[in-house]
Amino acid sequence: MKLLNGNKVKLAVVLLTAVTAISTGCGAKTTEGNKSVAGDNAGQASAQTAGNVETVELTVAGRRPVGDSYGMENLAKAAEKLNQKLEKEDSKYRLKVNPVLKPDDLNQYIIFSSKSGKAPDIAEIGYSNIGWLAEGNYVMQMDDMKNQDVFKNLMPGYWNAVTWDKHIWGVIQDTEARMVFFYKPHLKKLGWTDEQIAALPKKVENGEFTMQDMADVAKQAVDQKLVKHGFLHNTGPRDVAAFYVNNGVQMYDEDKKQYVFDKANVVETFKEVKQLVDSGLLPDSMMTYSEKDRLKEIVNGTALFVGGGIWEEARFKQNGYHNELGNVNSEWIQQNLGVILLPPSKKGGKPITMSNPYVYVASKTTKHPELVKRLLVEVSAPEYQKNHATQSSHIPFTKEAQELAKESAFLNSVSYMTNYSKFVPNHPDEPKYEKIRAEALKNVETGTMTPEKAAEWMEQQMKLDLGSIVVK
Amino acid sequence: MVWRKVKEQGFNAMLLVPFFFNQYVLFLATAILVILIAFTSMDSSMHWKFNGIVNFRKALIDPKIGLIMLNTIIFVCMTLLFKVVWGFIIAVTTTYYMENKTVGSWFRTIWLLPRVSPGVVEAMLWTWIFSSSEYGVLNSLMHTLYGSAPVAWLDKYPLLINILLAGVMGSSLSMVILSSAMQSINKSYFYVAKVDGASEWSILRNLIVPFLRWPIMFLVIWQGLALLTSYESILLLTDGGPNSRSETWALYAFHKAFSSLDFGYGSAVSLFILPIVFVVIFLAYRVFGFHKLMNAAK
Amino acid sequence: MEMIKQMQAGRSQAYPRQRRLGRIKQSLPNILSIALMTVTSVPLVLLYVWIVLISFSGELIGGIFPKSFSLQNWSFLWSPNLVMDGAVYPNVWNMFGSTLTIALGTSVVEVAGSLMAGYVLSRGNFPGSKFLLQSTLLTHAFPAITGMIAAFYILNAVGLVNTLTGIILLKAFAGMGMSTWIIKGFFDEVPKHLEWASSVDGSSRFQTFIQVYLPNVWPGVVAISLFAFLSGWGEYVMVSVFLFDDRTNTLSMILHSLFVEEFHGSYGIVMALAVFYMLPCLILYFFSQQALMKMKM
Repeated sequence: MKLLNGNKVKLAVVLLTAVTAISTGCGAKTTEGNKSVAGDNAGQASAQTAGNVETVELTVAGRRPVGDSYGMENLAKAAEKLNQKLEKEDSKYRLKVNPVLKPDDLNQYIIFSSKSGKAPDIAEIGYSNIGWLAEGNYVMQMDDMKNQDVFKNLMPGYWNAVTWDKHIWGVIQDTEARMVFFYKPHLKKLGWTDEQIAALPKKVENGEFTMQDMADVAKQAVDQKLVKHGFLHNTGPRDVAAFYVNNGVQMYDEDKKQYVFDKANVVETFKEVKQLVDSGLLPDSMMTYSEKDRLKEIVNGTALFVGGGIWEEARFKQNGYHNELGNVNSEWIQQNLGVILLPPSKKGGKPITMSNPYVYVASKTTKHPELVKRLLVEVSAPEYQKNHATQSSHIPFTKEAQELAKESAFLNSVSYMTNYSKFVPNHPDEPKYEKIRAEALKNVETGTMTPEKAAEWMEQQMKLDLGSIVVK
Repeated sequence: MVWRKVKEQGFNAMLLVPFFFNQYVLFLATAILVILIAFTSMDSSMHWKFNGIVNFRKALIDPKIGLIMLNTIIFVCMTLLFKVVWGFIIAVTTTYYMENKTVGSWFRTIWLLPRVSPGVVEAMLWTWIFSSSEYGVLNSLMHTLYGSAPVAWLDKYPLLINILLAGVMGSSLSMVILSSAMQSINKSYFYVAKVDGASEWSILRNLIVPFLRWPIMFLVIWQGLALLTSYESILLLTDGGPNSRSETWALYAFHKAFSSLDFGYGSAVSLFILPIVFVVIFLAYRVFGFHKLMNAAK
Repeated sequence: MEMIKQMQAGRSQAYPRQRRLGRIKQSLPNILSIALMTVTSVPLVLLYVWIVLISFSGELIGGIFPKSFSLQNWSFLWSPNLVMDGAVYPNVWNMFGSTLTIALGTSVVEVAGSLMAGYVLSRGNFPGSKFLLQSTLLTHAFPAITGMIAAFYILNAVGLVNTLTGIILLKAFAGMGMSTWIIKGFFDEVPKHLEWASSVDGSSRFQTFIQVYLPNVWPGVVAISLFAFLSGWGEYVMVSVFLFDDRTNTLSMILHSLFVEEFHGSYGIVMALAVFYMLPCLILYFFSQQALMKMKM
């Protein structure tokens, strides 16, 4: 038969060995494989007993520690601290934290793992998810946390972030502010004095420097070819909420628990953004701009005003965005970059910042609810807050910790911003609403729709996805 | 004798178990579940709340649906055309026109590469080629050759680039099937045709194309259905964007279900593909005689 | 034959110039074909060569042209963790293991199932066999996405969410229809008399299957094994939805998250990882491409 030519024999040998290898391996896999894959320490807390001491392994889902979050590191350290306390109390439990790092699809992960009984014991997630997490029965209620000493001096209003339906469903990890960086050397070239530059943040706070003023300055810089772009903004759905809020858009009716479509102000918002695009300050592809490119533009001065978050400062120091210097240090940042709140849309108006605090939530099905809660109290101690805040440029959420973090000049200079914090709703439909919010803006920026058309689209899409809404 | 027959049929039945399980048990369970979910308002909280035909009605008035339908038609037709025509060209040039058969098989080997590399790698390569930054392959080339400024290709031509990607990856299968069909054509036909003084063009039109009619028909139907329901390559390359300009029906269903976490609505959207599938299969059976192909081709 | 030769001889004597022209005209399709294929294939090959070059280069000129040779990008092969721009990812060999398990598992289950079904559907003449085969078209066309939501409930019901076994079964069953179809075509071409001869020898059906059929359908087995392996190896969507554990990350997941997170500075590492991920496919493919070319539908 033809079969016996050299190549085929080789092939047959390879495949046969492969097949035998698998078939032998396969039998073993169903028993042993299952254990290692779905096994004991994946998902739910598991316990190993040694003598009288039982080590409880907690699965924690969260962000990758690339400059953005030290939550995982803090939890591990807090677990050690708690273990010392447990030892003193003669408790038989000891804790161990197993991180699972899921950057993009955390929501999906929580849903599917919970539904299959393998939910992480603790998850680190944006507060706006609280609504659906509570409504879907995924997370544990923790009303008693309010009485804990560590939270006594929590910033006012921040319990709201973790409250849904009058109950508390998590604890805050940090807070931050979204604002606008500006490149100081360019302002000097435009004839600004050092004093004028230093006074700019105050002018924004007092409502003397508006979006229009910012656009005018940016226009000068673009016209004089100092920069490629006058203004870039950050593009996440919770980031772009700033433009809506800044124009007085009401998003949510707290009493009716319904989303609001505030047509007049939405159109105003879109007109403002369109104006920025039309005058050549904001690229029409802004919403698909990569984050890295945006941050590079501010550090290298190819854009004059760039929206971002205070945590960006940590990235400038770590991610090597500067074309010549690579990483820049605090002094360089101090000298070259200024920070203002998003200027108000109207003269005399109040500036705003969007706040999207990260929170810890605990699975409803965790086997050790008490230990989990104790760990969350432990990790909220000022020193851990400070560790996360100073390393990743976030703002601690209690007074004590804010005192500790004062050593960072940058954090000091921006901490006033939390006075202007605004929040997006944490209604269960927020994941759907935030997509509409971002997409409507994108439609305007790319020129696909006129401001009026985009507002119409938004209304239609909201009615479609959110059911009953209040139209204003 | 009877016993032997029974035993034999029993043996046959046993061998069919996995296949049968797939075609009927698993498929039916899947279909029933999907249809049920399509009638619920299931979202991130995963509650089974039946809400009648709300989802279906919603899909019909969804402001995006027009664009998505158009995209789907363009994507499926153009990709199919690309796949089959390009696969045909490779098959015919490498098996028939090229005198050196080894050279021909080398080219076929090269054109199988896109089919062999994993989808994620393929998408990564294409992202890299069409990247909007100055480091993108195409942008660097254009810059070196013409000194042109970087272009955001994927923002400008999202659907077209997706068609190219799906076409290039999919032409491998057409090529394999069409070239093995080409090779099974009796060589004497070509001889006779040439002796009769037939031009190359008429050989192609009157001999090769009729011979490849069945495999081409098969490819069009099989791959057409696959394209209608597939979304992975678009998901990885442009994720439907920008502004839904490369969003197709199947991808939209995926997005609604797995990124908006609106499982009920996502299921309902995906079910709209089914009637199209039925129509295509029915036409294939009746008009093109697809059943003849399936039975007679062997 | 004799006649043809005579005819050609006659022609060439009578019209020597036309003959030369004729020869050029005759080889024109050959030349054009080679030209067309070269022009289109070269960029394709270059692209693959390029990423290999980049993966082995220390520096890039203008972010795209490789400069110096370095193994730095490949260090994830011997270091405990994959590190990119300070972010720590799990060990690549673990991911390699998970990916390989899915790929091999998928191809074993899928090939076994479709071999058995293809054999019966081709040989056993029983009522409904045609319909059974034709129904593959319907399952093939059922929107994959819809399957995903239901698949979660089915996997959950049998406790296979977050297991490699679950992914293997989903993948294998998804591909079984098409594989059965392909392999049935090969069974159909085995001459019936071979089986008779074998049954006269007194071989059991199983022996007949191994001795008579398997050698004949071997190219088909190779082809469907390869396709099953590739589909398991390259799977991204199912894996990203149904595997939660960092320990069962696959290469497709890690590569996707790396290129989504845009590490411009570490381009070389991403390229090296892509090459590493592609390599098993390429090796298998070069071993099996001859069989692949024999595939029919």
